[in-house]
Amino acid sequence: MHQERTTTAALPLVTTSEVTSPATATGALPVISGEHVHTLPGESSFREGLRVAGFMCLGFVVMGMGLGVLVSSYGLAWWVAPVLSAVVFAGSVEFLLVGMIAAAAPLSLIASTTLIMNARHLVYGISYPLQNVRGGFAKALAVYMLCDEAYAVNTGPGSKNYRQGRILTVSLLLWASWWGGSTLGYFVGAAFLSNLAGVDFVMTGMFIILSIDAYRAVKDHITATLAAAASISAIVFFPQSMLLVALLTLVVMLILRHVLGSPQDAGRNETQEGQHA
Amino acid sequence: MPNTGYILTAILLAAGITFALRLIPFGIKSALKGNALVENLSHWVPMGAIICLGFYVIASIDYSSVQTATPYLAGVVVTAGLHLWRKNLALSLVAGTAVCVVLSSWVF
Repeated sequence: MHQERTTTAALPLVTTSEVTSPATATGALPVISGEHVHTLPGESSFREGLRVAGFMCLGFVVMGMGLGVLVSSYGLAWWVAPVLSAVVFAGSVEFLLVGMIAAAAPLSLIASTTLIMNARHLVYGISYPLQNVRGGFAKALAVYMLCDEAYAVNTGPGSKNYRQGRILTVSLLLWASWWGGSTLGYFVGAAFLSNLAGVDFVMTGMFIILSIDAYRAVKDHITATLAAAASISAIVFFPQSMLLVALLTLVVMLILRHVLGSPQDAGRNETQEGQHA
Repeated sequence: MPNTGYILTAILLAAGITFALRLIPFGIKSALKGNALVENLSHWVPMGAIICLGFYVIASIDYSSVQTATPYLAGVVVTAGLHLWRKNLALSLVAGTAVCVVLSSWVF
């Protein structure tokens, strides 16, 4: 009975971790779960990595292209696209970074925004099967490339048996698809879209889509309402630093939500802990 | 375009923070594991932050004139409508951007 609860609890977690991420936002992609992520007998670990990450790589190329188009629409040099996407490799925050870099935003704003947007990564390490990766360099690489999708594909009920080759193949394919897509997007944007006004709508559209997908995946009304309240009050009271104020307010309100804790949330924790155990 | 030194500093800063956030839990696994606050925040913050970003991009539209605001607002309506309907990222993004570009370039 307990085992059953544990297994089913894993699915919402995977969906949640996919939310902020580039590729899964396509919606058309299959939910990564069940047999899809398991090892097949006799299959090499490279082919296994290719099989489980394939669809996500396509999504990464499409979304990476959106990032590249944005870089070109802000008039930044071509190398910003591959360097930003390969070095930071953290999905949605990169769309913000493009605008902030183009506007020469203060480094303190870049640091605080990155910190809040990427703080979700603090929990991935708890259950990621890094113990299966041997050697300092390979381990460092696996941690460096631990994006939402790599976590979603390489963590799950059977992950303690995942081989090093599979874990690294998934990470490297996602990484290469992301910066490859953004480089391609830059040149497509520069070649065909350079003199058009309104191309920077790519960022606006991307976050509208991500918001819809995020809500659809989790359907957590309380968090959605708190986020809307934090955003609207920040727009009204601190229009110049709206995003940072909204994100900080949201985190404070969510901590309060935890402290005040409804019984329902307590139940959630129990199943989540069971899953990681 | 800002100078190269600034761009590289900004990228390395964001990358360093991201790498640190990814690395820290491996060092303090036992302390984080089973921490109810960390668990809850890891489930709540991602969706909440993305919704804040949704509000942020809408608030960032240039509302100083009808000419600057309308193309973007029309793009938002098209993107959101198509995405609620067809759930296809590429379709929603391309159609919304196309509407915004056409309105910005040739209508307003």
